[in-house]
Amino acid sequence: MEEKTTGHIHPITLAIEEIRQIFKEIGFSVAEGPEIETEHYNFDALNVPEDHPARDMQDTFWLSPLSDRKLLRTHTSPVQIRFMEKNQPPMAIIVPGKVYRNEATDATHGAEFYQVEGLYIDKKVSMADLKGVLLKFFKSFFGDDIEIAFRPSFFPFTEPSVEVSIKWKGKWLEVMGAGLVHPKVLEAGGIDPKEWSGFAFGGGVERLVMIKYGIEDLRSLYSGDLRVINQF
Amino acid sequence: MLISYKWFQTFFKEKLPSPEEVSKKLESLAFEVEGIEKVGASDVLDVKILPDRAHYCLSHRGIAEEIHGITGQALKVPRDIPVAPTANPQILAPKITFVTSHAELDARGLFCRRYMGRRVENISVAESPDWMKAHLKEIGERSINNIVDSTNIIMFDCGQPLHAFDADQISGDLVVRAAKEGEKIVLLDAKPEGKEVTLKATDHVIADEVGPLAIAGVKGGKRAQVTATTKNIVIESANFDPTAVRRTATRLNLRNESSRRFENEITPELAADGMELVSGLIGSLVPAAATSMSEVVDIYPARPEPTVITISRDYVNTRLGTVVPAAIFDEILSRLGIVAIQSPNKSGEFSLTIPYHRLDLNIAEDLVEEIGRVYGYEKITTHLPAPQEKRITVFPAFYIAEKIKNILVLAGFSEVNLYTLVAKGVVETAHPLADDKAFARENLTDGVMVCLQKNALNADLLGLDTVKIFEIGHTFTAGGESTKLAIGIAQVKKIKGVKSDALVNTAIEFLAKELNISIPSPALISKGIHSVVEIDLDTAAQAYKLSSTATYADLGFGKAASVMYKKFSVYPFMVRDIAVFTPEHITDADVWAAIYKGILAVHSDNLLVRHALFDTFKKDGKISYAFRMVFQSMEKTLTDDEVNTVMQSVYAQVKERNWEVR
Repeated sequence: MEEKTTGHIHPITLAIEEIRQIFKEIGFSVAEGPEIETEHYNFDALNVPEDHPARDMQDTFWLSPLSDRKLLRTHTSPVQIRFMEKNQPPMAIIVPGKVYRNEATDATHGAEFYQVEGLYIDKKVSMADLKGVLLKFFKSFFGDDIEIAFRPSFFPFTEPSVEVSIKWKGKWLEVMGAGLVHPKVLEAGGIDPKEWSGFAFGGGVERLVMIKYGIEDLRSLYSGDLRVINQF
Repeated sequence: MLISYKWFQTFFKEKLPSPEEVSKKLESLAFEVEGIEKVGASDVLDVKILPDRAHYCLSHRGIAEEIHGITGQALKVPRDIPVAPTANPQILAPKITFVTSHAELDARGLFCRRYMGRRVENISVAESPDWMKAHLKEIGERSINNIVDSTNIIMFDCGQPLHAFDADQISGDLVVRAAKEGEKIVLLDAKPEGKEVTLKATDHVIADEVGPLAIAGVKGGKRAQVTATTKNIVIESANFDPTAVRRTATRLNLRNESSRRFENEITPELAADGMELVSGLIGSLVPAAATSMSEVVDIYPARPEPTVITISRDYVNTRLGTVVPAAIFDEILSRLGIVAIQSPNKSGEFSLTIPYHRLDLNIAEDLVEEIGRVYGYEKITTHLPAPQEKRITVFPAFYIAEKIKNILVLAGFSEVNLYTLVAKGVVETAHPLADDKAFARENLTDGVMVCLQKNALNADLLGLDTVKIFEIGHTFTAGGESTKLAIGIAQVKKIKGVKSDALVNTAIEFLAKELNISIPSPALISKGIHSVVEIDLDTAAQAYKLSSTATYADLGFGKAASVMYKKFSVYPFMVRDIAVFTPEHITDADVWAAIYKGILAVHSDNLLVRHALFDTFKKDGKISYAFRMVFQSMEKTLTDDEVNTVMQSVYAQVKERNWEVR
């Protein structure tokens, strides 16, 4: 009584694949990195100073023993540094991957979730370029009638920093953080900020999946329940 | 940060727009307004301050300057508030000394960057007037007495933490020093009464001859607290090292409004404003004190130079990707209190002198943000840069994982994505979210096994004889992190000669063949009808011969489907089978039409979620069709009776056609 002999791809994989395809068209490759990170890659190299309130922005799962200063990465941004260290600019990558935050789980927040990060480095990169790339992405992903807006924000690794919202079915929804790569981050990756500049962005994949497919509870994506997955 | 709209108005010349309008303006700047609430006679805005602006925005004044910066709404200078009284030379100023702090800090700078103190005599401690009580209530603080309330109100007004000591409880001079290891202090509001806090050598205190009077920047001590009988006070307006305050406050679990401001770093220049404002307020409340204020002692070892940043309009415009008209550019700088002087040598460059309180503005990029956010990012036209001239090569690990996903889906497997944080494992989180999520999983098998078991229970609902799933994810062992693939099968329908373990092995063989690699026979875990194997993908990836011309297009992903997710029922489902004997010319579609009619006759809201023809055979010129039906309600648990009623209706339809139910 099998109705279909092929199985089903998880919606997160579907979304990451679609994101990859869209960014490939505008010249972005894929990079990945480990989920256990060092304090250096997760914070220090990203201009998040030690003993600074900015570290409180991301509740971290430190690993035992604490003296090792190892953690479950709180974002995919460490891969920016890892990639910069090994490659020469110009560069354009997206980084999909699982990240972890020590915060209570509810319908829209998870202690573990997927992020997609983007990094673009070239000469004279501007906020207009960032806006252009993100508008292209969101239109391709959600449909041509999408609008995007930047609201000033703060991330230690970008300056200026913005919160990116999209207008979806008449409502503004925050979907991403972005900005121009902070010169200290370029330096940490071995790139001369006088010669090169760049933008970076990152956001939760679940949020995009939930908006796109109308899923109300993020946890249903991790239940392993084929009543969910086999709809895709 | 709670902002009292009424208090906020005192900073401006003209009437402010409505609280909702003010809130919108703030949101366009860099702030989130998490709520507007009416408290007493004032609206109160709950404004979220991000760490970079916490240097100057943890106060009504800081946020007022932001509103001025974006809208040009004129600030009222001077404000309509009490002016600090003239010092009385007959009142002896307190004696204050610094003792060199511990070595780590001295390498970075002084712990105490500035200490201002003033003695005020002829105080009468009393209840605060109603307006002060109301104001404190608006910003979520409780009223204590007129003196303590004055220091608090001024902190929320301008951002400078302040403290008042009972001067008659101080023995000898005041000393700002590192704490002695093991030194003890009883703090204000100690619970239980008299409970001592033990200090470390990395903490800092304000002390006298007897011992500590306060933990610097964090909390005052009980010994010199202002009480109903206090007659003379010493007011402190100081500036302490952010990191040291943060460490002490965090370790002692004493983070509060004072430590919060020091942790985020405030300019030592602000200490003077704090002293001025609090002197004015106390003087206005206690007239006898107004004429009994000593000179302010001001120990300020290294006044910082103002930050100067050199930029050009071209630079800012290039980074923003737009052209901000020169007049607007200049006006933005001026509203932010930034003084611009054109460089004499280089054309187009400006030296910008940054106001002291803007500790967030240090490099040229910071100015790009200031100009950009005030000018408005919405005015930037989008520009899509051309792809860089670099061939896109595949990332091997990602490519192989995605390729395997496609191979397995074609072989009938569905992908699951399970939690990493589980109840047992080797790699442990230091502060787990919950006991059953303390470890990072050491294998995928355990999760996939449970997942199989759960899905097997829904096999009929899903229309599956065999539940086939897989997961690709990271696992964590003493040896480190690796990428794994787990494949699981539950053979729900009994079929002779078909077992889940054999099916799993077949799947691995199929995968090995498709990838053209050898996969060593992995250990297989079986529990009843469920079998799971797990293989190391890092090893498989190494074995895989990735073509130098490989592109992601080889993966076989189609165009993304445009599906909308449908919620499933959380209530149990029920299965009914029916086999119908009919004359040979009747088709299965005919039979199903009759059955369906029977179902709809009872339930127009259609409780049928799935049906399938599962058996057909011919005998003696007749044909038998066997259907399986799955019933489920979105609203409730169905009873046997309800489903039996449906079946009776179905039987009636069959009988009407002179067919036979077997």
